[in-house]
Order: sequence, then structure tokens, then C-alpha cells
Amino acid sequence: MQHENKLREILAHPKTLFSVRLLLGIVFFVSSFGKILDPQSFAENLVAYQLIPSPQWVMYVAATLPWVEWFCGVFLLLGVFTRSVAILSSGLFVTFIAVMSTALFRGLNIHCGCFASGGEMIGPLSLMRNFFFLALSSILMLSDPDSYALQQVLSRKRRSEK
Amino acid sequence: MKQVDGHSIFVPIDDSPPKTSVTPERVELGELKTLISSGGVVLVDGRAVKDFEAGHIPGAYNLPALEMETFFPQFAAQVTHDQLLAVYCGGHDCSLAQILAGSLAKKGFKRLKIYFGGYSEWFLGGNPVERGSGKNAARK
Repeated sequence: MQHENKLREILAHPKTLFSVRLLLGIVFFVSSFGKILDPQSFAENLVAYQLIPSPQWVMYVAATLPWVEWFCGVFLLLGVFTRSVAILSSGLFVTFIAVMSTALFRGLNIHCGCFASGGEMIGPLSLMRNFFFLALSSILMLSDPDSYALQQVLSRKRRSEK
Repeated sequence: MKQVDGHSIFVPIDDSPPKTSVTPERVELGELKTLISSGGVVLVDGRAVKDFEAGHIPGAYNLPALEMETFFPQFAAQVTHDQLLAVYCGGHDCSLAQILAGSLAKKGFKRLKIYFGGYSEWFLGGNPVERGSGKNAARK
């Protein structure tokens, strides 16, 4: 019980929340970058998962998903709409975990497509990493924005001006 | 046994196919489709069995590049050395096609082309795909 309270205290600490927000922001920002620059390679990665039946839909996902990640990254780094972005990013991580799990279950030996084209193959490590990011995202989802977030800074400023 | 200067000597018999230093040519999607429609090419998918079964170019043989020695005998029983082979794998990020082309060249296949666009380019181009074992050497 005492350990539980201590853990809750650490997770709710503004510096913890700030670090988590920054880390997730960097992850999204970095992962989106290679895909935005080379959507064709990302589309090829998506094809390898063999889950989207239509090539048009693959191209659609390849063109939009990296930008969703980019906005998540920028918003998290700035600390704007933190909780809403955390809900969205949790949804993304759940989707990534589900997609990767089905590929592993089907025995596919394919590139993860997690960050840029090529790179690591799907496996327990990439799956564990997504679970870890989902946990971080859930922390942000269940907490109030940290005091360093831009939205908090602006609201403090507004209050002091009144 | 061979006669050299009136003496009989033993000459080791090499019954393996001739070793070649073939550099496989690149084939693009348009040319590949023409070759397929003319029936002048044998498609060889170098991906692992499960990846092949999830989807492949119709009519392709599966010869997993990393398990070449296991599956090659079945493949060799169905394809002759003088046939034109177009080897492919997942796509531009995939190196299995090059590995497989190298192995096939060592096995004596001289007429080799590599389709670097691979399965993903084929699929994204809206071309028909086949699922299941197809001409999977591993099943025969």
C-alpha cells in the first residue's frame, strides 16, 4: 500500500510527467519524419503486413498516418492538448500492438516500419517497446498536464493578468 | 580416368552445374508484366514461406533465400537452367532477392533478372495477387 502510494506520487510528479511527455513527443516526431520524407517505403512496409486489402487504402494510410504522428509529436513537445493527444497516441499504440501481434502470430518475417523504412524486423522487442510507450501514454492520459506544458504556462499567465 | 602422356590419371568428376559469374539484370514492373503475359519468365519469390503464403505474384514459385538448400531440390525438379528467372522479394528494402539471385547463379542459372520493386510495388500497382501455397516448393 505504501509502495503503491509512493509510485503514484512519482508518476504524478510534474517532472515525471514532463519527462514522459517529452520522450513520447520525441518518439512521435522522430518516427514520423522518415515516413513523411519517404511515404513510398512506408507504404511498402504496410503492404508487408498484408492487412489492408486495397492498394489505394495502403497509400491513404501511408500518406496520413505519419502526419498524425507528427502532430502528436509537436503537440506533446509543446504541451498543447496533452490529454487529447495522449488519448489519440494510446489508440495508436494499441493499434500498432494489435497489427504487430497479428503479423507475429501469422509468422511473418517483415520489417517493423516503426521509425523509418527498412530497419528492424518485427519481434518481441518491437512489441515490448510499443507496450512501454502505451504505458507512458496512459500516464499522460490519466494525469493533468504538467506545469511546464505550454497550455499550463499560458493559463497561468492569463490568470496573473486578471 | 584420363590418358595424359600415355599415363592414366584420375580426374575428379565435377557433375555440379557450371559455376557462373552472372550479374542479374534489373527488371522493372512494366517489362515484367510483358514477360509474364508472354509466358517467357519464371517468377521466383525469395521470401519466407509464411510471407509468400500471405500474398504473392500469381504463378510465382517460392524459394526462400535463407533456406535455399532445403527447398532447392524441389525447385530444380520443376525449372530448367535455360529458363529466364525473375527473382523478387518484399520490395526495395528487401535484400532476399539479391541473395537468392546470387545463389541461383552459383547453381548454374544464367538467365536471371531481379525485380527490385518486389511484391509491394506489384500490389501497390493494383495488380492481381495470389494467396496460399501456390507453386510453393516447400509444399511439394
